[in-house]
Amino acid sequence: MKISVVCFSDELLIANSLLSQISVKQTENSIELWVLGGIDDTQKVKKLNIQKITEIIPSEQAHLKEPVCCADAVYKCFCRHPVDVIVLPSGLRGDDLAARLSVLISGGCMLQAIEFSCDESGASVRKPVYSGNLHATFRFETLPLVLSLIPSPNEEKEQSNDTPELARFEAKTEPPAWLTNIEYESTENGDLLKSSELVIAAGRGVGKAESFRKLEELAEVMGGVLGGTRPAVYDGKIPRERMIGSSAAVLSPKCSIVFGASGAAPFLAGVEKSKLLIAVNRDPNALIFDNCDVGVIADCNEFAEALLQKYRNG
Amino acid sequence: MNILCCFKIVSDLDLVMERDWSSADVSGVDLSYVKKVISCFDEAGIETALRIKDSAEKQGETVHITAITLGNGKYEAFFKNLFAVGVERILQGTLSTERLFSPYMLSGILSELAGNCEYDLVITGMQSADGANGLTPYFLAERQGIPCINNVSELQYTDGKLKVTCDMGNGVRKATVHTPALYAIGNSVNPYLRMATLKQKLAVSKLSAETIEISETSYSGGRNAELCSLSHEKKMRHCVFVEGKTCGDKAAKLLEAYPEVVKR
Ligand SMILES: Cc1cc2nc3c(=O)[nH]c(=O)nc-3n(C[C@H](O)[C@H](O)[C@H](O)COP(=O)(O)OP(=O)(O)OC[C@H]3O[C@@H](n4cnc5c(N)ncnc54)[C@H](O)[C@@H]3O)c2cc1C
Repeated sequence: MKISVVCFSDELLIANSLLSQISVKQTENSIELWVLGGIDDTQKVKKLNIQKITEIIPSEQAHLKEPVCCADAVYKCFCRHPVDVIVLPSGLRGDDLAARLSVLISGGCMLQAIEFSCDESGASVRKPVYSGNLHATFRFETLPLVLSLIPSPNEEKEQSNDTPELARFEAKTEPPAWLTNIEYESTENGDLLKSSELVIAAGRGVGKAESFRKLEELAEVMGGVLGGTRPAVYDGKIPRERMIGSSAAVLSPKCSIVFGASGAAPFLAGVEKSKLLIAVNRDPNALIFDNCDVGVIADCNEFAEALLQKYRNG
Repeated sequence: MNILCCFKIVSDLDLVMERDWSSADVSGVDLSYVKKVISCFDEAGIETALRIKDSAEKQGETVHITAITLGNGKYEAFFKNLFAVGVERILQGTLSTERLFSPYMLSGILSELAGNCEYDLVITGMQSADGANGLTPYFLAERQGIPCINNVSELQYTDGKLKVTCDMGNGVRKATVHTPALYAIGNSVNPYLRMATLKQKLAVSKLSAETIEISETSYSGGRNAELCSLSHEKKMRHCVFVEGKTCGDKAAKLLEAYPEVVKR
């Protein structure tokens, strides 16, 4: 069984998480890493738990931003070096690329998987369904298969001395002719949320816009970042790039404090990888209390104010 | 301009009781008692189509919206509401059984239904709430031979052109699209379907959806996966409650007991 893990050069170390989630029950197999875009940091390469890396370089650096070009570049690499399974990191980019690739190679596909294993007779994939309330296991008898795996929190490998074998594949890519006036805008806000060690998550229960502003202030004094549930975002209380959950940002901070959210499965998927999960809700039966480490039964805005006071008073 | 929308009626999963998830097995889970809704991203898709219609008509262009759905339920109330807000034609493809986890098959059936309609653009949701495959838009676009643009947050019609905004994971991309394409709506800036007025509802009271029987067997096999198990996961955390008379007491106790909250 030949497996290729594909990731973007700007999130190289995610590969380690994916590699640790793949279980291969076969005598003869090989796993390699394909990196979209050039690797500029050789120190990072040494931290990867892999022997063979291929850099996939599209015709222009700008093409890395274009999903169609990325899919085309990986597809061309696949045609030259066919593999049985392609694994990508789940997320908006990875899911999109996985789906496009599966169409190009006419292969099976599964997005947002949490486990993958393969044996002589095929591949098994586990993934959340019914908005994350259930887990399903699927079996693919025919390959190739493309899947996106939700990365588990990254265990960075200690720097090793053996440098992996590095190859380069240049792919001729062209931007789609049917798109013009293309503008890319980066959203720093979302990145801040993903990299923060403390996340304050605000749900619908927070209520008024001024209460959300209070939580923003709390996040600031605590050295964290404010994100929100879907209703908080859809109601315009939190910027869209700060949305947390299965269809938005999946986070793994040291600590998350959730204010006024019921704990619906799609939202929980975004915070359940937090090391410490604290929930504040006025309803003692709220679902979130079945899924957190520390619970505070209180009006979330009064509790936020009390926390803020403690910080203000040092 | 002709717009084709695909939508699915699903159970409102936020309302399902914990014990019902626990009883799930490979044969499925009983959600018959749960209130039905239009799957969230599909709802945003229909609203997107209606907004295009509003702005195109202001620019002197006529827009016809057709909506297609699959499923055997009696969805008249949903259909009436869609007619009332401006959808002109609805096709319902009936299935012998629910095909939750077979996006390749579903895309084949949707493609067959789409064959009954003229369109300049197709709008779908990016993922359904229940099956959550997230693949049907790509496979449908492939079958129709048109590009798929996913994670669309906004689609606007100005000066005779469609301008699309997509979430890209690390930013947004805005572009003008020059071809029939499929737009899969994600976290839209207009997520909710507008309300129909009583007058609008009365005006469409005689309209009904066309039902089309589909032979699913021609779309089985291929890239579809086999479902082997369906289970509810045990919770991994055990909650310890912070006690205290006032919020101030609780805040103090929290900071004392969990210094990791404080230190950063
Ligand atoms: C396909 C799909 C994808 C989805 N993706 C996401 C996603 O990525 N992210 C996401 O968040 N949701 C997502 N959802 C929506 C999700 O199912 C829930 O509807 C949503 O998470 C609920 O948000 P909430 O907890 O803020 O609101 P609610 O469920 O309304 O909960 C509000 C909570 O606040 C509490 N409360 C009210 N007032 C107070 C107060 N004064 N003090 C303390 N507590 C109070 C209430 O007790 C209640 O528990 C998705 C749904 C679907 C179908």
